[in-house]
Amino acid sequence: MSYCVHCGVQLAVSEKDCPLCGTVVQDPFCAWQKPEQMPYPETVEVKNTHIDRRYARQLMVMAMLVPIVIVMLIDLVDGRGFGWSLLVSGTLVLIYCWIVVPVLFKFSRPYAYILIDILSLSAYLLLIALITGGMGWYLGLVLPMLIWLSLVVIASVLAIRRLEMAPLYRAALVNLMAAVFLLGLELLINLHAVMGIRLNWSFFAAIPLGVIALMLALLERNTPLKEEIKKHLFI
Amino acid sequence: MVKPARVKTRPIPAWVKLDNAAKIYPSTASNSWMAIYRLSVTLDEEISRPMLRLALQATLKRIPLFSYRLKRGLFWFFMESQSGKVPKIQEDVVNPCVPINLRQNDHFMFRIRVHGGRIALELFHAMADGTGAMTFLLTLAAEYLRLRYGRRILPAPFILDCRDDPQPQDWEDSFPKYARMSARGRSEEPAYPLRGTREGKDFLHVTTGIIPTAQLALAAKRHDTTINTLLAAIILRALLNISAKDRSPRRAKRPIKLSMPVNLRKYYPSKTLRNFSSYINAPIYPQYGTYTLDDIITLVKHYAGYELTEQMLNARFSGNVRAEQSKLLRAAPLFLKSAVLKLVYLLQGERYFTTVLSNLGLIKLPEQMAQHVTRIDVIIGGGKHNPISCGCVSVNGKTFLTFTRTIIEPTLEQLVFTALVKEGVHVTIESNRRTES
Repeated sequence: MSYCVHCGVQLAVSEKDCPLCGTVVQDPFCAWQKPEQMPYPETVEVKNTHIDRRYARQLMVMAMLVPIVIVMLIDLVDGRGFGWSLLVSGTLVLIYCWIVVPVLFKFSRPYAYILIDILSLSAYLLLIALITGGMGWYLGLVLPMLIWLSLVVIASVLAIRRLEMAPLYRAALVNLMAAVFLLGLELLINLHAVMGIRLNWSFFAAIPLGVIALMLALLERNTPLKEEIKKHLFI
Repeated sequence: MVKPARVKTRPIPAWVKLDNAAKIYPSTASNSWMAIYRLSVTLDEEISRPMLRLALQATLKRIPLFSYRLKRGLFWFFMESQSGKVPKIQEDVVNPCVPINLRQNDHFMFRIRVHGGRIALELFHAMADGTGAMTFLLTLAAEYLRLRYGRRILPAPFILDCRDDPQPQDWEDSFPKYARMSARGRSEEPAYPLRGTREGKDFLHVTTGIIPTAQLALAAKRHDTTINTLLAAIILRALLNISAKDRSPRRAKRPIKLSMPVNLRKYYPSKTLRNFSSYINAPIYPQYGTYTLDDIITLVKHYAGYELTEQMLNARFSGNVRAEQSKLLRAAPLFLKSAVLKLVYLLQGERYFTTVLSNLGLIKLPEQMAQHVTRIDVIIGGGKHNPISCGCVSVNGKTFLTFTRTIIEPTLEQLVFTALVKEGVHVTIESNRRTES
């Protein structure tokens, strides 16, 4: 039976020193011995600490909805119906799709993220086209460009995922696909603007990209050179 | 070994809405925090796990509400029956009240943990309040003793007969039944917040003072008050001492408030095992002067006298019921409701009190059971924002006053227990600290 001289409380047999003040309690006639059974076992339960994505998503939706409601109310009170507030709201939704979705949503394949990004961008540009009366440029130029962009990106991701390639070959492939995209982009612009299929600036952009791709592929094949570069870069 | 009680089953609802008080808890729960508390009963011998499982099976047949699982609907959370399932008996841990991972826990909103002769029930507050949980735990313990010794324990307060059918009153949501049209606002002045060095994320300090109830009653009588008011006053005075040393003058000026849950079953003929409790937040204003213990006792007594009337309590919970029935809120999808409820909890939940004293009062056990029960404990899980909580219960001549804290400094409980010693009350201290031999 030990008492804390500081607090005046009796300590249970499981307590070596006072849990209230830390004072060491020494009974000269009976040294403290750990009892066979302590009031609590030794096992510590660990909390499951992964990020609560659902909560974070709800919070982001709320953070996005507040400014949307505010600007829409201001726009409505202004008396001219919904106008600029739709652009602000569209921008916020686009930011949500481009930033929140990749960070807080977990899809098993990356194509879902690409599709969401492309579709949200298409919808946002459609909104601008509808507000500004620019359906001509949207259907003739923007939509084909976005379709072309999504095809190139999906093809690149598909190739990288399906084909087992060395890292430098992957980088070469990305460069090649970027070159192909630029060629297609100029083709689409020319078809819309001058109704012709002449290619001009995209060649000058595609040629260096092609050369870089070739150099990367050659470097991947040249193991001594690769080692030499690694040594110099201290990787 | 005696066979478990034969139970006639009566159709139980396939699903039930969350009661009015429970609605906020799933929305505020996360992996790192959940409104959880623990009640435990300690018997005079090592618990047999297989026998306890049989007793749990019988108890769940009598109280099937506890086997319900929490589900997300489009507009509200609700509870769905999963009768027939019995959770595993778990070994106890040193850090109680860790949030329950419902998926890993077979979707049960409670767990039973065993250590030596102790049966502990850890429960998510969305399921039931202290009275409901104590009824479940003591019914389980009574059924265990019946299986162990072959002697039937007669039904008593907190003890149901496992051979009876489940009763619809068990899962009644009593809040809307007794709510009236007149309501009072929920907003209050924010309370003084306790601060300290945060303990590691997984650990909850538990310090229990074991006190002879007769001595505590004598001390209360000397001050012409009740045990609960005396304890509340001692805690408030300790908080006053802590706030006086606070370096932030702005914070130290805030009122110190002790939240005390109130069992509404004392005011209404409800027998529900779900949540049916309210609270009062007894305040003390440090800037108005110095207070003696008797001053604080007088303040608490009169504040409780004013607040603990059927009219005032009804007006408080009627406000919540009316808010729940608002057409705007009902039409909002769950994710929006959850966000709003989180905000409400942040602004109006723990912010309105400094700490909580949950006193389940005196538990009178039937003689056949009392001879085997050595103690009962109440552990309130750590608050989401407030670092210290306090639970209290009296049984078999002893009062168990348990402080739980998520900070390292044991200042509050030291001040409280030393104050009790100065009042001539013998206090034995026990904790969950890990001591090397």
